[in-house]
Amino acid sequence: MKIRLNGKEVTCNIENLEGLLKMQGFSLERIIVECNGRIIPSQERPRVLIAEGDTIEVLSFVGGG
Amino acid sequence: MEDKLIIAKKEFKNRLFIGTGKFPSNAVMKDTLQKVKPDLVTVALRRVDSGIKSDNILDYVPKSCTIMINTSGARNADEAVRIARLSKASNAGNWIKIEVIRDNKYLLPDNLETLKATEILVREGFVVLPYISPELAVAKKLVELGAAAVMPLGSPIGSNRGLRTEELVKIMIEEVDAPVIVDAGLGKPSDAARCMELGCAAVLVNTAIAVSNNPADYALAFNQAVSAGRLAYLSGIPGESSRARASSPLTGFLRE
Repeated sequence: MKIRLNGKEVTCNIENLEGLLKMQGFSLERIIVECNGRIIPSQERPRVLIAEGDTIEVLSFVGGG
Repeated sequence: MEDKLIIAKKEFKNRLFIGTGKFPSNAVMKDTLQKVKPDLVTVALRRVDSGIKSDNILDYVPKSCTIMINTSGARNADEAVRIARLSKASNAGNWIKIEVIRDNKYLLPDNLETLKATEILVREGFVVLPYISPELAVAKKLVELGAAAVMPLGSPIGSNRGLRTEELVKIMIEEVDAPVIVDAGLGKPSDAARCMELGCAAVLVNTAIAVSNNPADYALAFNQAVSAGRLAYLSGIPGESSRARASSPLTGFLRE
């Protein structure tokens, strides 16, 4: 299925969010994840299922003024 | 006399707030923060590149610092609110610098959208410090809505042009019942000293420090200027006169 991950189209065959994040190589501890506009607490990630067309944002803190 | 700055019940001893952008490396930033010991630093929130093991900026910030997350990148109130909510989900705290910008040339803030975002985020329990163009009516309204402080710009972000908005900031300090913190554009320690002499509660500096040849020392110079300016303000700055006023006695001259 195709989803949008951080603004880019990505094809994936993994059904849950935690698996997708691992497959994509994100460091799981320090990221903030939003799925279709909903903030997903880290403990919920294994239970969140991904569907065709989902929009997922993965964010972290960077330097800024 | 102990001189404390209190914002949202939190006590700040160091009135130099530091932004963490643009440093040549996280190690240099860490060195700078260790040397100056700011009580508050700002960070931003961005998309992460997948598959790249990058350091987390928060690992380089001393634990004693209050982290204030900016909403940079937000072009309207809704986007600023979204960034604030995402930040809260990270447990980095609930201090938010609202920064809503649509003008890419001068990066001047949109005061109207900033008002809207402030109203929403204060209601949601955030400690809100809005970055604004120095307009008195807006600053007063923000404080009415519950902003913990107001942060007028000195000059455009990253421009290092100093306190070009001095008259407006002065009025704001006089008329607004909340800490006034000059944010953006301060390029030299003397700019920061000037802000503090006027009665600013603090200043927020990023670019000038981060891009200097020696960020840690330059930050220290800023810090000393902030302390000097504050002490001068508290001491009471003597009035000016257009004519000379002799500092030695005008009697007992040898010629008499």
